[in-house]
Amino acid sequence: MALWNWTTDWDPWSALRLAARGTGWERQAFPAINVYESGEAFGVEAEVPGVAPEDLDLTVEGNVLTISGVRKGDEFKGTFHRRERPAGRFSRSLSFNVPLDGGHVEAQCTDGVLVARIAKAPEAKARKIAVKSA
Amino acid sequence: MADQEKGAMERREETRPAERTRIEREYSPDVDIYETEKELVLVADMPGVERQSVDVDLSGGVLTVTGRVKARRLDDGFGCIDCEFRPGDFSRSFALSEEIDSSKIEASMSRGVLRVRLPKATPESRKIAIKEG
Repeated sequence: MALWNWTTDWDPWSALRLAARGTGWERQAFPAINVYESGEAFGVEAEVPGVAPEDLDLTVEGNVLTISGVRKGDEFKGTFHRRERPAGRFSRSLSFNVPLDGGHVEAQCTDGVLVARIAKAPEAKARKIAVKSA
Repeated sequence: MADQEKGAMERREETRPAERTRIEREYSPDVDIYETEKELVLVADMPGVERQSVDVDLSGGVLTVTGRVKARRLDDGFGCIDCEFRPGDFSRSFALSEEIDSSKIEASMSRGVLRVRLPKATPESRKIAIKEG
């Protein structure tokens, strides 16, 4: 992304989502995801506290990345006073404006945060063009 | 129940009278709290918090859990194009109504989830012996 284009890049809801966070009245999708871009790849961060790496699936198909999995609830005996942590299956799909290279994906989960780097398909990568002098 | 909630909120204000010196955001983590005959268990989601950066404090009947988030791991070449969250620390306080045996509190951190077990004080330890006058 060379220049920030307000007609396509401006998301009027992002500020609202950030402001709403932690207030309790918003119930955003699980997991919360941040998407980043560089010339060669996309980067994704997802907050998946309590999800075991083996219960987490990343799939790439064309220009769509899907993060899915299951968050197992705690085994407990007793009475609940508060129950705010969602449990069960989850799935979120992100579609990108360029195709992705499913063969070049790196993903790591540390302290409940998934960090993935997904390469753009070779034809979609930014190319540097050498300018010749006349 | 409503009154208890209000009490907890008021107390929470009292325990944090000062402004933070760090500019980072502070979020209230999602929690589950459940109670058994022997203990109270608090489970809090704190994604991005390492074990060493968690603090659990019980004083004056108020339990406070705090976690510091490490800076994110993507390198500088990446620019944010759609961000739903920003890194920030976590902190939340609860007023406890049960008598807790504070010497036996156990806390563990796994995959960004904090678990705190708060054993209730046994009736024997709370009982006051009455002398004959």
